[in-house]
Amino acid sequence: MEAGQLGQRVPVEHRVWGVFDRRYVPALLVVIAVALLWAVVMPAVDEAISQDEIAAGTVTTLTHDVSFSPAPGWVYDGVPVGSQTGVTVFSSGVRFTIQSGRFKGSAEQLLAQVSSHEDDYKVTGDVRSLQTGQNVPGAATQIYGHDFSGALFAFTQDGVGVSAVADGPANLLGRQTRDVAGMIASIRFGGAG
Amino acid sequence: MSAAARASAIAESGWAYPVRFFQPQNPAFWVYALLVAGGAFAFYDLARPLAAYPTAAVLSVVLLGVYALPFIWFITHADRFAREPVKLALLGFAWGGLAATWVLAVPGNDAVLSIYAKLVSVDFAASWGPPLTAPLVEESSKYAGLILLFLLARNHVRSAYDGLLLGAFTGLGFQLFEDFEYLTSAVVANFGASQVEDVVSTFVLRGVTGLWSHALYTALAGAGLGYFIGARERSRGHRFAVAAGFLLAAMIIHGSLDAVVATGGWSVALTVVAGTGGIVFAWRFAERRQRTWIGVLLADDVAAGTITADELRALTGRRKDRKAYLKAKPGRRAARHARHVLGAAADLAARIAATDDPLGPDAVAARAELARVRALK
Repeated sequence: MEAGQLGQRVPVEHRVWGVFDRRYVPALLVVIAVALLWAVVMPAVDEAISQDEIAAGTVTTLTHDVSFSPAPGWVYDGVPVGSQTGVTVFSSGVRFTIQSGRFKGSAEQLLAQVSSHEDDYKVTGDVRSLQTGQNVPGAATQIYGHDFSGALFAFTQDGVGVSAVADGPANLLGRQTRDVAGMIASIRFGGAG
Repeated sequence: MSAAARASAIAESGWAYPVRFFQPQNPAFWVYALLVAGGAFAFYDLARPLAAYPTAAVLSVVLLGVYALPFIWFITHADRFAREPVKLALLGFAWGGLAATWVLAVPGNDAVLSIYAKLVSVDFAASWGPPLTAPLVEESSKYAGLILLFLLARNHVRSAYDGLLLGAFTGLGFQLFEDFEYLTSAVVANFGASQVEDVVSTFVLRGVTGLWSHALYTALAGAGLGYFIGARERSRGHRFAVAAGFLLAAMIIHGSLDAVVATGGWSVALTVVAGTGGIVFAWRFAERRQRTWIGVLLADDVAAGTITADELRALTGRRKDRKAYLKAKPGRRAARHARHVLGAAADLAARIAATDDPLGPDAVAARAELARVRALK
Protein backbone atom coordinates (compact mmCIF):
# COMPACT_ATOMS: atom_id res chain seq x y z
CA MET A 1 0.00 0.00 0.00
CA GLU A 2 1.34 3.42 -0.91
CA ALA A 3 2.04 6.04 1.70
CA GLY A 4 -0.73 8.24 0.31
CA GLN A 5 -3.35 5.53 0.63
CA LEU A 6 -2.16 4.54 4.08
CA GLY A 7 -2.18 8.16 5.17
CA GLN A 8 -5.84 8.55 4.23
CA ARG A 9 -6.98 5.55 6.25
CA VAL A 10 -8.60 6.30 9.59
CA PRO A 11 -7.05 4.33 12.45
CA VAL A 12 -9.60 1.82 13.62
CA GLU A 13 -9.81 3.16 17.17
CA HIS A 14 -10.80 6.61 15.88
CA ARG A 15 -13.45 5.54 13.37
CA VAL A 16 -17.02 6.79 13.58
CA TRP A 17 -19.57 4.84 11.53
CA GLY A 18 -16.64 2.88 10.22
CA VAL A 19 -15.27 5.67 8.05
CA PHE A 20 -14.95 9.07 9.70
CA ASP A 21 -12.26 10.10 12.16
CA ARG A 22 -13.85 11.08 15.48
CA ARG A 23 -10.88 13.36 16.29
CA TYR A 24 -12.02 15.75 13.57
CA VAL A 25 -15.72 15.84 14.45
CA PRO A 26 -15.33 19.03 16.58
CA ALA A 27 -13.58 20.83 13.71
CA LEU A 28 -16.37 19.88 11.32
CA LEU A 29 -18.96 21.03 13.82
CA VAL A 30 -17.22 24.41 14.03
CA VAL A 31 -17.51 24.78 10.26
CA ILE A 32 -21.19 23.81 10.29
CA ALA A 33 -21.84 26.17 13.20
CA VAL A 34 -20.21 29.11 11.39
CA ALA A 35 -22.19 28.36 8.22
CA LEU A 36 -25.47 28.11 10.12
CA LEU A 37 -24.75 31.24 12.15
CA TRP A 38 -24.26 33.50 9.15
CA ALA A 39 -26.55 31.85 6.60
CA VAL A 40 -29.49 30.93 8.82
CA VAL A 41 -29.41 32.14 12.43
CA MET A 42 -28.51 35.82 12.02
CA PRO A 43 -30.92 36.38 9.09
CA ALA A 44 -33.62 34.73 11.21
CA VAL A 45 -32.79 36.95 14.19
CA ASP A 46 -32.89 40.00 11.93
CA GLU A 47 -36.24 38.87 10.58
CA ALA A 48 -37.58 38.27 14.08
CA ILE A 49 -36.71 41.73 15.33
CA SER A 50 -39.81 43.75 14.72
CA GLN A 51 -39.45 46.41 12.14
CA ASP A 52 -41.49 49.48 12.89
CA GLU A 53 -43.56 51.12 10.25
CA ILE A 54 -41.89 54.17 8.78
CA ALA A 55 -42.78 57.29 10.69
CA ALA A 56 -44.19 60.41 9.07
CA GLY A 57 -41.48 62.87 8.09
CA THR A 58 -38.77 60.23 7.59
CA VAL A 59 -36.26 61.20 4.92
CA THR A 60 -34.16 58.51 3.26
CA THR A 61 -30.97 59.47 1.46
CA LEU A 62 -29.75 57.91 -1.73
CA THR A 63 -26.43 58.31 -3.49
CA HIS A 64 -25.69 61.43 -5.56
CA ASP A 65 -27.35 63.64 -2.97
CA VAL A 66 -30.84 62.43 -3.75
CA SER A 67 -33.45 61.90 -1.04
CA PHE A 68 -37.12 61.00 -0.73
CA SER A 69 -39.69 60.58 2.01
CA PRO A 70 -41.18 57.11 2.27
CA ALA A 71 -44.89 57.14 2.97
CA PRO A 72 -45.75 56.74 6.65
CA GLY A 73 -46.89 53.23 7.55
CA TRP A 74 -44.81 51.57 4.84
CA VAL A 75 -41.95 49.20 5.80
CA TYR A 76 -38.39 49.05 4.50
CA ASP A 77 -37.15 45.94 2.73
CA GLY A 78 -33.90 45.95 4.71
CA VAL A 79 -33.20 49.04 6.73
CA PRO A 80 -31.19 51.45 4.57
CA VAL A 81 -27.76 52.08 6.07
CA GLY A 82 -26.09 55.27 4.92
CA SER A 83 -26.61 56.56 1.40
CA GLN A 84 -27.96 53.70 -0.66
CA THR A 85 -28.00 53.25 -4.40
CA GLY A 86 -31.50 51.87 -4.11
CA VAL A 87 -34.19 51.48 -1.47
CA THR A 88 -37.36 49.39 -1.47
CA VAL A 89 -40.40 49.91 0.73
CA PHE A 90 -43.56 47.81 1.00
CA SER A 91 -47.13 48.29 2.05
CA SER A 92 -50.11 45.97 1.67
CA GLY A 93 -48.61 43.92 -1.12
CA VAL A 94 -47.35 46.92 -3.08
CA ARG A 95 -43.65 47.54 -3.61
CA PHE A 96 -41.95 50.85 -4.30
CA THR A 97 -38.29 50.73 -5.40
CA ILE A 98 -36.27 53.85 -6.00
CA GLN A 99 -32.72 54.13 -7.33
CA SER A 100 -30.34 56.99 -8.01
CA GLY A 101 -27.31 57.05 -10.26
CA ARG A 102 -25.23 59.04 -12.67
CA PHE A 103 -27.08 59.67 -15.96
CA LYS A 104 -26.48 62.22 -18.68
CA GLY A 105 -29.67 62.55 -20.64
CA SER A 106 -33.34 63.36 -20.39
CA ALA A 107 -35.93 61.66 -18.21
CA GLU A 108 -37.41 60.03 -21.32
CA GLN A 109 -34.00 58.64 -22.22
CA LEU A 110 -33.54 57.28 -18.70
CA LEU A 111 -36.97 55.68 -18.87
CA ALA A 112 -35.99 53.98 -22.13
CA GLN A 113 -32.59 52.97 -20.72
CA VAL A 114 -34.10 51.35 -17.61
CA SER A 115 -36.86 49.52 -19.47
CA SER A 116 -34.44 48.26 -22.15
CA HIS A 117 -32.46 46.28 -19.54
CA GLU A 118 -35.45 44.93 -17.67
CA ASP A 119 -36.70 41.38 -18.18
CA ASP A 120 -39.12 41.26 -15.25
CA TYR A 121 -41.72 43.53 -16.78
CA LYS A 122 -42.83 45.04 -20.05
CA VAL A 123 -43.72 48.65 -20.76
CA THR A 124 -47.20 49.49 -21.98
CA GLY A 125 -48.97 52.71 -22.87
CA ASP A 126 -47.62 56.14 -23.62
CA VAL A 127 -44.89 58.01 -21.85
CA ARG A 128 -46.36 60.79 -19.74
CA SER A 129 -44.70 63.85 -18.30
CA LEU A 130 -44.78 64.70 -14.60
CA GLN A 131 -42.66 66.51 -12.06
CA THR A 132 -41.53 66.18 -8.49
CA GLY A 133 -42.47 68.58 -5.71
CA GLN A 134 -39.13 70.27 -6.44
CA ASN A 135 -40.34 70.84 -10.04
CA VAL A 136 -37.82 68.44 -11.52
CA PRO A 137 -39.34 67.21 -14.79
CA GLY A 138 -39.78 63.48 -15.25
CA ALA A 139 -41.39 60.80 -17.37
CA ALA A 140 -43.57 57.84 -16.45
CA THR A 141 -45.10 54.85 -18.14
CA GLN A 142 -47.17 51.87 -17.17
CA ILE A 143 -45.61 48.43 -16.80
CA TYR A 144 -46.96 44.91 -16.46
CA GLY A 145 -45.52 41.54 -15.58
CA HIS A 146 -46.76 37.97 -15.21
CA ASP A 147 -49.07 38.69 -12.27
CA PHE A 148 -48.58 42.34 -11.48
CA SER A 149 -48.83 45.78 -12.93
CA GLY A 150 -47.45 49.16 -11.98
CA ALA A 151 -45.62 52.24 -13.13
CA LEU A 152 -42.06 53.18 -13.98
CA PHE A 153 -40.86 56.72 -13.28
CA ALA A 154 -37.68 58.53 -14.28
CA PHE A 155 -36.23 61.94 -13.41
CA THR A 156 -32.94 63.56 -14.33
CA GLN A 157 -31.18 66.73 -13.27
CA ASP A 158 -27.57 67.88 -13.64
CA GLY A 159 -26.19 64.47 -14.64
CA VAL A 160 -28.04 62.58 -11.92
CA GLY A 161 -30.89 60.21 -12.67
CA VAL A 162 -33.56 58.71 -10.45
CA SER A 163 -35.73 55.78 -11.43
CA ALA A 164 -38.63 54.42 -9.40
CA VAL A 165 -40.92 51.45 -9.84
CA ALA A 166 -44.21 50.94 -8.06
CA ASP A 167 -45.68 47.50 -8.65
CA GLY A 168 -48.02 44.95 -7.18
CA PRO A 169 -51.26 43.09 -7.89
CA ALA A 170 -53.59 45.38 -9.81
CA ASN A 171 -56.35 45.25 -7.19
CA LEU A 172 -53.95 46.32 -4.41
CA LEU A 173 -52.01 48.88 -6.38
CA GLY A 174 -55.01 51.19 -6.73
CA ARG A 175 -55.29 51.59 -2.94
CA GLN A 176 -51.72 52.84 -2.68
CA THR A 177 -51.78 55.33 -5.53
CA ARG A 178 -51.91 58.30 -3.20
CA ASP A 179 -48.89 57.10 -1.20
CA VAL A 180 -46.90 56.38 -4.34
CA ALA A 181 -47.70 59.82 -5.72
CA GLY A 182 -46.57 61.34 -2.43
CA MET A 183 -43.25 59.50 -2.54
CA ILE A 184 -42.67 60.56 -6.14
CA ALA A 185 -43.43 64.17 -5.23
CA SER A 186 -41.01 63.96 -2.27
CA ILE A 187 -37.98 63.10 -4.41
CA ARG A 188 -35.36 65.80 -3.98
CA PHE A 189 -32.15 66.37 -5.91
CA GLY A 190 -29.32 68.07 -4.06
CA GLY A 191 -29.83 66.88 -0.50
CA ALA A 192 -32.58 66.35 1.97
CA GLY A 193 -33.01 70.02 2.71
CA MET B 1 21.21 12.23 8.75
CA SER B 2 19.31 9.27 10.08
CA ALA B 3 16.47 7.63 8.25
CA ALA B 4 14.35 8.24 11.33
CA ALA B 5 14.92 12.00 11.15
CA ARG B 6 14.08 11.98 7.46
CA ALA B 7 10.94 9.91 8.01
CA SER B 8 9.94 12.27 10.81
CA ALA B 9 10.37 15.33 8.57
CA ILE B 10 8.34 13.67 5.81
CA ALA B 11 5.60 12.66 8.22
CA GLU B 12 5.45 16.13 9.79
CA SER B 13 5.43 17.93 6.46
CA GLY B 14 2.83 15.65 4.87
CA TRP B 15 4.64 16.10 1.55
CA ALA B 16 4.44 12.41 0.80
CA TYR B 17 0.68 12.38 0.58
CA PRO B 18 -1.37 13.22 -2.50
CA VAL B 19 -4.48 15.37 -2.29
CA ARG B 20 -7.74 13.68 -3.18
CA PHE B 21 -10.87 15.82 -3.45
CA PHE B 22 -13.51 13.13 -3.93
CA GLN B 23 -13.88 11.50 -0.51
CA PRO B 24 -17.50 10.35 -0.22
CA GLN B 25 -16.75 8.70 3.12
CA ASN B 26 -15.61 12.03 4.56
CA PRO B 27 -18.44 14.33 5.80
CA ALA B 28 -16.13 17.31 5.24
CA PHE B 29 -16.28 16.58 1.51
CA TRP B 30 -20.08 16.80 1.50
CA VAL B 31 -20.15 19.98 3.58
CA TYR B 32 -17.59 21.56 1.24
CA ALA B 33 -19.38 20.39 -1.91
CA LEU B 34 -22.81 21.47 -0.68
CA LEU B 35 -21.74 24.96 0.35
CA VAL B 36 -19.61 25.61 -2.74
CA ALA B 37 -22.46 24.39 -4.97
CA GLY B 38 -24.80 26.69 -3.04
CA GLY B 39 -22.38 29.55 -3.63
CA ALA B 40 -22.20 28.75 -7.33
CA PHE B 41 -26.01 28.88 -7.60
CA ALA B 42 -26.15 32.14 -5.65
CA PHE B 43 -23.45 33.65 -7.83
CA TYR B 44 -25.24 32.50 -10.98
CA ASP B 45 -28.40 34.13 -9.70
CA LEU B 46 -26.49 37.34 -9.10
CA ALA B 47 -24.71 37.25 -12.45
CA ARG B 48 -27.75 36.28 -14.56
CA PRO B 49 -29.18 39.81 -14.87
CA LEU B 50 -25.77 40.92 -16.13
CA ALA B 51 -26.67 39.40 -19.47
CA ALA B 52 -28.25 42.80 -20.07
CA TYR B 53 -24.81 44.40 -19.61
CA PRO B 54 -22.45 42.14 -21.59
CA THR B 55 -19.79 44.83 -22.02
CA ALA B 56 -19.56 45.36 -18.28
CA ALA B 57 -19.59 41.65 -17.49
CA VAL B 58 -16.84 40.76 -19.97
CA LEU B 59 -14.72 43.79 -19.08
CA SER B 60 -15.02 42.96 -15.36
CA VAL B 61 -13.91 39.38 -15.90
CA VAL B 62 -10.97 40.44 -18.07
CA LEU B 63 -9.79 43.18 -15.69
CA LEU B 64 -10.08 40.97 -12.61
CA GLY B 65 -8.40 38.09 -14.42
CA VAL B 66 -5.43 40.30 -15.29
CA TYR B 67 -5.46 41.73 -11.76
CA ALA B 68 -5.27 38.23 -10.28
CA LEU B 69 -2.16 37.27 -12.25
CA PRO B 70 0.42 39.20 -10.18
CA PHE B 71 -1.20 37.88 -6.99
CA ILE B 72 -0.97 34.30 -8.23
CA TRP B 73 2.57 34.88 -9.43
CA PHE B 74 3.56 36.39 -6.11
CA ILE B 75 1.98 33.65 -4.01
CA THR B 76 3.45 30.84 -6.11
CA HIS B 77 6.81 32.59 -6.55
CA ALA B 78 7.09 33.19 -2.83
CA ASP B 79 6.41 29.50 -2.31
CA ARG B 80 10.03 28.74 -3.09
CA PHE B 81 9.68 25.26 -1.71
CA ALA B 82 6.88 24.66 -4.25
CA ARG B 83 5.02 22.26 -2.01
CA GLU B 84 1.42 23.54 -2.15
CA PRO B 85 -0.60 21.38 -4.54
CA VAL B 86 -2.55 23.27 -7.18
CA LYS B 87 -5.64 21.19 -6.42
CA LEU B 88 -5.70 22.33 -2.81
CA ALA B 89 -5.13 25.97 -3.80
CA LEU B 90 -8.05 25.75 -6.25
CA LEU B 91 -10.28 24.26 -3.57
CA GLY B 92 -9.41 27.19 -1.32
CA PHE B 93 -10.04 29.67 -4.15
CA ALA B 94 -13.45 28.11 -4.89
CA TRP B 95 -14.45 28.18 -1.22
CA GLY B 96 -13.42 31.83 -0.89
CA GLY B 97 -15.07 32.90 -4.13
CA LEU B 98 -18.32 30.94 -3.92
CA ALA B 99 -19.21 29.50 -0.51
CA ALA B 100 -17.64 32.04 1.84
CA THR B 101 -18.84 35.02 -0.18
CA TRP B 102 -22.37 34.20 -1.27
CA VAL B 103 -23.59 31.54 1.16
CA LEU B 104 -22.09 32.83 4.39
CA ALA B 105 -20.78 36.39 4.22
CA VAL B 106 -23.46 38.18 2.20
CA PRO B 107 -26.47 37.00 4.26
CA GLY B 108 -24.45 37.30 7.47
CA ASN B 109 -23.27 40.86 6.74
CA ASP B 110 -26.73 42.01 5.65
CA ALA B 111 -28.38 40.54 8.73
CA VAL B 112 -25.90 41.92 11.26
CA LEU B 113 -25.92 45.40 9.69
CA SER B 114 -29.71 45.39 9.71
CA ILE B 115 -29.74 44.34 13.37
CA TYR B 116 -27.40 47.23 14.24
CA ALA B 117 -29.70 49.61 12.39
CA LYS B 118 -32.76 48.32 14.19
CA LEU B 119 -31.31 47.99 17.69
CA VAL B 120 -28.84 50.88 17.76
CA SER B 121 -29.33 53.40 14.99
CA VAL B 122 -29.07 53.78 11.25
CA ASP B 123 -26.18 56.25 11.68
CA PHE B 124 -24.25 53.78 13.84
CA ALA B 125 -24.86 51.02 11.31
CA ALA B 126 -23.64 53.26 8.50
CA SER B 127 -20.40 54.33 10.20
CA TRP B 128 -19.36 51.59 12.66
CA GLY B 129 -21.42 48.79 11.14
CA PRO B 130 -18.90 47.77 8.45
CA PRO B 131 -15.83 47.51 10.72
CA LEU B 132 -17.85 45.71 13.39
CA THR B 133 -19.47 43.31 10.93
CA ALA B 134 -17.33 42.39 7.93
CA PRO B 135 -14.16 41.35 9.80
CA LEU B 136 -16.10 38.97 12.02
CA VAL B 137 -18.45 37.57 9.38
CA GLU B 138 -16.04 37.41 6.46
CA GLU B 139 -12.92 36.24 8.27
CA SER B 140 -14.83 33.46 10.03
CA SER B 141 -16.47 32.47 6.72
CA LYS B 142 -13.11 32.09 5.02
CA TYR B 143 -11.58 30.43 8.09
CA ALA B 144 -14.29 27.77 7.96
CA GLY B 145 -13.06 26.91 4.48
CA LEU B 146 -9.49 26.56 5.69
CA ILE B 147 -10.67 24.13 8.37
CA LEU B 148 -12.48 22.15 5.65
CA LEU B 149 -9.31 22.08 3.54
CA PHE B 150 -7.50 20.62 6.52
CA LEU B 151 -10.23 18.00 6.95
CA LEU B 152 -10.02 17.16 3.25
CA ALA B 153 -6.21 17.00 3.18
CA ARG B 154 -5.22 16.18 6.75
CA ASN B 155 -1.93 14.75 5.62
CA HIS B 156 -1.00 17.82 3.72
CA VAL B 157 -2.14 20.87 5.70
CA ARG B 158 0.37 20.59 8.49
CA SER B 159 2.19 23.83 8.97
CA ALA B 160 1.86 27.58 9.27
CA TYR B 161 3.30 27.76 5.75
CA ASP B 162 0.52 25.57 4.34
CA GLY B 163 -2.06 27.67 6.14
CA LEU B 164 -0.54 30.92 4.95
CA LEU B 165 -0.48 29.95 1.27
CA LEU B 166 -3.88 28.28 1.25
CA GLY B 167 -5.26 31.24 3.16
CA ALA B 168 -3.87 33.57 0.51
CA PHE B 169 -5.61 31.61 -2.27
CA THR B 170 -8.87 31.40 -0.30
CA GLY B 171 -8.78 35.14 0.36
CA LEU B 172 -7.93 35.85 -3.27
CA GLY B 173 -11.03 33.91 -4.37
CA PHE B 174 -13.18 35.93 -1.96
CA GLN B 175 -11.60 39.19 -3.08
CA LEU B 176 -12.04 38.62 -6.82
CA PHE B 177 -15.66 37.47 -6.63
CA GLU B 178 -16.51 40.31 -4.28
CA ASP B 179 -14.80 42.75 -6.65
CA PHE B 180 -16.85 41.36 -9.53
CA GLU B 181 -19.97 42.20 -7.60
CA TYR B 182 -18.72 45.73 -6.86
CA LEU B 183 -17.76 46.35 -10.49
CA THR B 184 -21.06 45.17 -11.93
CA SER B 185 -23.14 46.81 -9.20
CA ALA B 186 -21.63 50.16 -10.16
CA VAL B 187 -22.91 49.61 -13.69
CA VAL B 188 -26.42 48.68 -12.55
CA ALA B 189 -26.43 51.64 -10.16
CA ASN B 190 -25.94 54.01 -13.06
CA PHE B 191 -28.65 52.37 -15.18
CA GLY B 192 -26.11 50.69 -17.46
CA ALA B 193 -25.60 53.97 -19.29
CA SER B 194 -21.83 54.22 -18.74
CA GLN B 195 -20.67 50.63 -18.46
CA VAL B 196 -16.98 50.98 -19.35
CA GLU B 197 -16.49 54.11 -17.24
CA ASP B 198 -18.21 52.55 -14.21
CA VAL B 199 -16.29 49.28 -14.40
CA VAL B 200 -12.90 50.94 -14.88
CA SER B 201 -13.33 53.57 -12.15
CA THR B 202 -14.54 50.99 -9.62
CA PHE B 203 -11.78 48.62 -10.66
CA VAL B 204 -9.10 51.26 -10.02
CA LEU B 205 -10.50 52.02 -6.55
CA ARG B 206 -10.86 48.36 -5.57
CA GLY B 207 -7.52 47.50 -7.14
CA VAL B 208 -5.53 49.94 -5.04
CA THR B 209 -7.07 48.91 -1.72
CA GLY B 210 -7.00 45.28 -2.86
CA LEU B 211 -3.30 45.02 -2.06
CA TRP B 212 -4.25 45.05 1.63
CA SER B 213 -7.38 43.03 1.30
CA HIS B 214 -8.72 39.49 1.66
CA ALA B 215 -5.71 37.59 0.30
CA LEU B 216 -3.57 39.23 2.98
CA TYR B 217 -6.09 38.85 5.83
CA THR B 218 -6.73 35.17 5.17
CA ALA B 219 -3.03 34.43 4.69
CA LEU B 220 -2.45 35.83 8.18
CA ALA B 221 -5.34 33.89 9.71
CA GLY B 222 -4.30 30.76 7.82
CA ALA B 223 -0.75 30.91 9.16
CA GLY B 224 -2.15 30.73 12.68
CA LEU B 225 -4.46 27.84 11.85
CA GLY B 226 -1.62 25.96 10.16
CA TYR B 227 0.54 26.47 13.23
CA PHE B 228 -2.25 25.18 15.48
CA ILE B 229 -2.51 22.05 13.34
CA GLY B 230 1.18 21.41 12.83
CA ALA B 231 3.13 22.49 15.89
CA ARG B 232 2.16 19.46 17.93
CA GLU B 233 5.30 19.66 20.06
CA ARG B 234 3.78 22.77 21.68
CA SER B 235 0.92 22.75 24.17
CA ARG B 236 -2.64 23.04 22.94
CA GLY B 237 -3.05 26.29 24.86
CA HIS B 238 0.02 27.82 23.23
CA ARG B 239 -1.09 26.77 19.75
CA PHE B 240 -4.61 28.05 20.37
CA ALA B 241 -3.25 31.40 21.55
CA VAL B 242 -1.07 31.73 18.44
CA ALA B 243 -3.95 30.80 16.11
CA ALA B 244 -6.33 33.19 17.89
CA GLY B 245 -3.69 35.94 17.75
CA PHE B 246 -3.24 35.62 13.99
CA LEU B 247 -7.01 35.53 13.42
CA LEU B 248 -7.50 38.57 15.63
CA ALA B 249 -4.74 40.44 13.78
CA ALA B 250 -6.42 39.63 10.47
CA MET B 251 -9.76 40.89 11.79
CA ILE B 252 -8.27 44.12 13.16
CA ILE B 253 -6.44 44.90 9.91
CA HIS B 254 -9.60 44.10 7.97
CA GLY B 255 -11.65 46.28 10.32
CA SER B 256 -9.24 49.19 9.98
CA LEU B 257 -9.87 49.32 6.23
CA ASP B 258 -13.63 49.09 6.69
CA ALA B 259 -13.55 51.84 9.33
CA VAL B 260 -12.76 54.48 6.75
CA VAL B 261 -16.15 56.19 7.18
CA ALA B 262 -16.18 55.96 10.98
CA THR B 263 -12.63 57.29 11.42
CA GLY B 264 -12.55 59.78 8.61
CA GLY B 265 -9.91 57.79 6.78
CA TRP B 266 -6.97 57.68 9.19
CA SER B 267 -7.46 53.98 9.89
CA VAL B 268 -6.38 53.18 6.33
CA ALA B 269 -2.83 54.07 7.38
CA LEU B 270 -3.11 51.37 10.05
CA THR B 271 -4.29 48.92 7.39
CA VAL B 272 -1.25 49.60 5.22
CA VAL B 273 1.34 49.59 8.02
CA ALA B 274 -0.08 46.71 10.06
CA GLY B 275 -1.03 44.72 6.97
CA THR B 276 2.44 44.98 5.43
CA GLY B 277 4.23 44.33 8.72
CA GLY B 278 1.86 41.52 9.61
CA ILE B 279 2.26 39.59 6.38
CA VAL B 280 6.08 39.90 6.45
CA PHE B 281 6.12 38.64 10.04
CA ALA B 282 3.70 35.80 9.24
CA TRP B 283 5.80 34.77 6.25
CA ARG B 284 9.00 34.56 8.26
CA PHE B 285 7.20 32.82 11.09
CA ALA B 286 5.67 30.27 8.73
CA GLU B 287 8.78 29.59 6.68
CA ARG B 288 11.02 28.49 9.55
CA ARG B 289 9.72 24.96 9.88
CA GLN B 290 9.62 24.53 6.11
CA ARG B 291 13.30 25.38 5.86
CA THR B 292 14.18 22.90 8.59
CA TRP B 293 12.40 20.07 6.75
CA ILE B 294 14.28 20.77 3.53
CA GLY B 295 17.56 20.71 5.45
CA VAL B 296 16.76 17.30 6.91
CA LEU B 297 15.70 15.82 3.58
CA LEU B 298 18.86 16.95 1.78
CA ALA B 299 21.36 16.28 4.58
CA ASP B 300 22.57 12.97 3.06
CA ASP B 301 23.07 14.59 -0.33
CA VAL B 302 25.22 17.31 1.24
CA ALA B 303 27.31 14.62 2.93
CA ALA B 304 27.62 12.78 -0.39
CA GLY B 305 28.64 15.96 -2.21
CA THR B 306 25.58 16.07 -4.50
CA ILE B 307 24.77 19.44 -3.02
CA THR B 308 27.26 21.85 -1.52
CA ALA B 309 26.90 23.21 2.00
CA ASP B 310 26.58 26.72 0.53
CA GLU B 311 23.73 25.60 -1.68
CA LEU B 312 21.95 24.01 1.25
CA ARG B 313 22.38 27.21 3.27
CA ALA B 314 20.91 29.22 0.39
CA LEU B 315 18.06 26.75 0.10
CA THR B 316 17.24 26.58 3.78
CA GLY B 317 18.23 30.09 4.82
CA ARG B 318 16.13 33.18 4.82
CA ARG B 319 15.29 34.93 1.59
CA LYS B 320 18.15 37.37 2.13
CA ASP B 321 20.59 34.45 2.50
CA ARG B 322 19.45 33.08 -0.83
CA LYS B 323 19.76 36.53 -2.42
CA ALA B 324 23.25 36.99 -0.99
CA TYR B 325 24.29 33.59 -2.30
CA LEU B 326 23.08 34.38 -5.80
CA LYS B 327 24.52 37.90 -5.71
CA ALA B 328 27.95 36.55 -4.84
CA LYS B 329 28.04 34.68 -8.15
CA PRO B 330 30.20 36.33 -10.82
CA GLY B 331 27.70 37.78 -13.26
CA ARG B 332 24.06 37.33 -14.12
CA ARG B 333 24.63 34.19 -16.13
CA ALA B 334 26.29 32.43 -13.20
CA ALA B 335 23.57 33.67 -10.83
CA ARG B 336 20.88 32.28 -13.11
CA HIS B 337 22.68 28.97 -13.30
CA ALA B 338 22.98 28.86 -9.51
CA ARG B 339 19.26 29.59 -9.22
CA HIS B 340 18.49 26.66 -11.52
CA VAL B 341 20.72 24.39 -9.43
CA LEU B 342 18.82 25.42 -6.29
CA GLY B 343 15.56 24.68 -8.07
CA ALA B 344 16.74 21.22 -9.06
CA ALA B 345 17.89 20.59 -5.48
CA ALA B 346 14.45 21.58 -4.17
CA ASP B 347 12.92 19.14 -6.66
CA LEU B 348 15.20 16.43 -5.29
CA ALA B 349 13.94 17.14 -1.77
CA ALA B 350 10.37 16.91 -3.04
CA ARG B 351 11.01 13.53 -4.69
CA ILE B 352 12.64 12.15 -1.55
CA ALA B 353 9.67 13.34 0.50
CA ALA B 354 7.10 11.96 -1.94
CA THR B 355 8.58 8.48 -1.93
CA ASP B 356 10.33 8.39 1.46
CA ASP B 357 13.18 6.71 -0.40
CA PRO B 358 16.42 8.64 -0.99
CA LEU B 359 17.72 5.81 -3.17
CA GLY B 360 14.54 5.06 -5.12
CA PRO B 361 14.12 5.68 -8.87
CA ASP B 362 12.43 9.06 -8.37
CA ALA B 363 15.26 10.40 -6.21
CA VAL B 364 17.86 8.92 -8.56
CA ALA B 365 16.20 10.63 -11.53
CA ALA B 366 16.05 13.93 -9.61
CA ARG B 367 19.76 13.63 -8.80
CA ALA B 368 20.52 12.97 -12.46
CA GLU B 369 18.53 16.07 -13.38
CA LEU B 370 20.45 18.05 -10.76
CA ALA B 371 23.72 16.83 -12.28
CA ARG B 372 22.50 17.77 -15.76
CA VAL B 373 21.54 21.27 -14.67
CA ARG B 374 24.84 21.67 -12.83
CA ALA B 375 26.76 20.66 -15.98
CA LEU B 376 25.05 23.37 -18.03
CA LYS B 377 27.40 25.95 -16.55
